[in-house]
Amino acid sequence: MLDRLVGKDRRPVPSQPPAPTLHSLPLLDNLLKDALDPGYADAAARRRKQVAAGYPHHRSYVYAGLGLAALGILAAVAIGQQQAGAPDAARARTRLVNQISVLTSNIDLFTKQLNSLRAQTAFARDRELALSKTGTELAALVRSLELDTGVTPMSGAGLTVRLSDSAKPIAGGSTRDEGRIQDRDVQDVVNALWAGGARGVSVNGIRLTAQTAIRTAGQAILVDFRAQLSPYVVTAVGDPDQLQVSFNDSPVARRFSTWTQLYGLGFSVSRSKSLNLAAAAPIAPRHARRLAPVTSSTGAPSSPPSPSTK
Amino acid sequence: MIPGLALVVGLVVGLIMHPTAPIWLQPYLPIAVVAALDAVFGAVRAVLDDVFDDKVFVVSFVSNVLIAALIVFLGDKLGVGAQLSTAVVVVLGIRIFSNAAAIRRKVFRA
Repeated sequence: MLDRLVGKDRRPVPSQPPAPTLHSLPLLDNLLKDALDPGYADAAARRRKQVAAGYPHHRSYVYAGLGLAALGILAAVAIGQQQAGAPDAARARTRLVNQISVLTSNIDLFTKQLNSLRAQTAFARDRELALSKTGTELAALVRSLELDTGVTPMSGAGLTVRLSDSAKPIAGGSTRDEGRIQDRDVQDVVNALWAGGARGVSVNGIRLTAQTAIRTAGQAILVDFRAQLSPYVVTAVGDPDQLQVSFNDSPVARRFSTWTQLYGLGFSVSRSKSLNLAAAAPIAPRHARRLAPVTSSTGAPSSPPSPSTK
Repeated sequence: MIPGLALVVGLVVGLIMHPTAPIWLQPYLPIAVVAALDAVFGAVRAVLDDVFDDKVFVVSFVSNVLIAALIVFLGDKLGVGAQLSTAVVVVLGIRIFSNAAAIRRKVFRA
């Protein structure tokens, strides 16, 4: 088999191990055979002939040195160019991250300004309303409505219900919903707390108003259109005893007590002496009715005008 | 070894001076480097086999680089640039590995 690897003019092919030839693929054969340029063998034969004929030949490495220097420069240029080009994606990403942080801080700034302007408006309104008796009643009504609708922060004793997805891996891929908290679970818990006499409820820090929706979108639950992930902490401010008794009797609590064992869902109820509920964004009023000009004692309008918000 | 020193000197000069290749040449630089590497590995193997000739080395070096760049350039013009460049890299890689294996055999056995 060795003589098959030797060239036609029977040149010796040094350092060729006896390799099996692939009869159907001379391409690979030649590829491996010609890896050492046959020019070297030719030059060596020529040199040997020269030496045998008496011509002195000293090996020079000049050209080899120049070639290697060229390789070094080429490699350095290629590597340098690659390094300069590679961080383009990283640069774009840092630019986006910077934009996000700038815009987020802008949002925070504007939210602070908005809150202070709202406080100024409320102060001015209260000052105007305090000038008359109807106005004072109106101001009290507005304040209690604001508390009930979630526009002002609320704090007090209450109940905290914590729901979390199952920690066990769900068999059958992510299409199995049984190990995940659904929107109706959170809705049931919230409704049970309202029914139990809660004065204010918030989910994961988002205060619930009459218009807050709790919906599932994919794998997250949207509370007031903000995506929330497990665990879901439902906080309710109210009389803790009443809340706890009525909540533990509610259907949802009974369902969850079995589900924690069946599906491994997380469910815990705890009382607390001081809970803080953040304020919700005020609902923009859609209907307004102009107050009749108020006089101090007589001439009060028959039905107390109330700002109706929808 | 003078050639080794020459390689190091070339690398250092390239990294310090940071010459920028013209834009139209930049896509072919990586493949030129691989082709040059193939010539260098062949040369090292020839040295170990005692058949080294520097003229053959220079010619194989230059021709490898030019032909590899030419093939990739032609492929870009024809629209098969990625495939042809893959083929060139595969072939050069096989040759490099084959030469490296022979070098390894010579260095660690003989």
